[in-house]
Amino acid sequence: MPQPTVPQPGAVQGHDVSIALLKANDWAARAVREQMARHGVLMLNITSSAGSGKTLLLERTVAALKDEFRICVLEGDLETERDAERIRRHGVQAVQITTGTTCHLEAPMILQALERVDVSQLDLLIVENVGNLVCPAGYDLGEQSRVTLLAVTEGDDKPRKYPRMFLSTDLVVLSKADLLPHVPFSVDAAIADVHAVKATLPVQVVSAHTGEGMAPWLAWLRDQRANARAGTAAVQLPARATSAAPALPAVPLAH
Amino acid sequence: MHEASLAQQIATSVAAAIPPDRHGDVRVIRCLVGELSGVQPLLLEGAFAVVAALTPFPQARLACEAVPTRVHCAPCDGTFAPVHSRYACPQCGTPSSDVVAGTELLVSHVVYEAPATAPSP
Repeated sequence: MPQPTVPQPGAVQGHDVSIALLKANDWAARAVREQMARHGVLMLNITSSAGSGKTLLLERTVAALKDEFRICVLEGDLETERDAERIRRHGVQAVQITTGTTCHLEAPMILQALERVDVSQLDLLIVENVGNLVCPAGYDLGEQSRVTLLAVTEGDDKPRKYPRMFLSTDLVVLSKADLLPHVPFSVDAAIADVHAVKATLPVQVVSAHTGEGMAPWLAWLRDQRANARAGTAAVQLPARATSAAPALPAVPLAH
Repeated sequence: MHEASLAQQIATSVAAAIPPDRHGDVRVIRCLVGELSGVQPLLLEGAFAVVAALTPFPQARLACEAVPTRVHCAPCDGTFAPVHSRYACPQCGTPSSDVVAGTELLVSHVVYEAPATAPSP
């Protein structure tokens, strides 16, 4: 009896597939990362809850580093140009990304914003994500390093409540440290909670308001920037050594 | 997180991945949803039920399988499940945040049903 060439009516068949739902984001993140690596630009993704002091930290950072590095800031918010305007007051380029109703940035938004930026003329690209400790954790933007702020006004028990964010970040900044005398926040308890999630995560205590702790933060940034440049030098050396111009080698992905 | 837009993405991705003449036969779309993905499986299934009528698969339902978080412990050469976000091996106490499962967000399987009427021979 010949085998049927079509399934019997009502027969059920299953097919295994593997379709990553964030494939479009990851493709765009890779394109961003390759663009940064090509020009030796350090790209940071700054995440935190809303109101934890990201913009003030960035204002103080660009004021301190603008004569040393060519800087651009991408500001993610649901609405208004307010944060970009605060950065521009320091004479630093800032592009506002308004997300409308979306509570996080995605890599295609970065690609779109970069159409207005000459990346070849940059040393440092800082992305301020939308204030939210949940969704931004799941979206790679193509950054070299992720920095997460936790304001002392938020409570020292947050890291284990938001494990994905603290698992995915490279540096924790305990911000608004000048308020420590006024709030029931234990720096030791916060650091222990961070390390319960990721034991190797460095933690810095910073007050952008008074300047306390800014020096170690700026030193960390300079180190990261040196690493970004060293990565580019390593990528470009073989191209100089040979007469043929080979395609840019694949850049290792940070995340 | 964003269950409604993810439900749309599932429909778009599956539509692109399977032959158009089989779209109407899709009955079940299975997804793997990691505990750390930020997506709630029940909400995603509910969101898909709402948007299904607008997709090429009006008769399909979404079935999500939650994937528990597993973390690799190098000294034990095994994996463990973190409890209340404590990323340290319960056997040897070594901290590890080497997540090997739990961040998945993917379509893993599509189930078709052949048309009720057989094609003419």
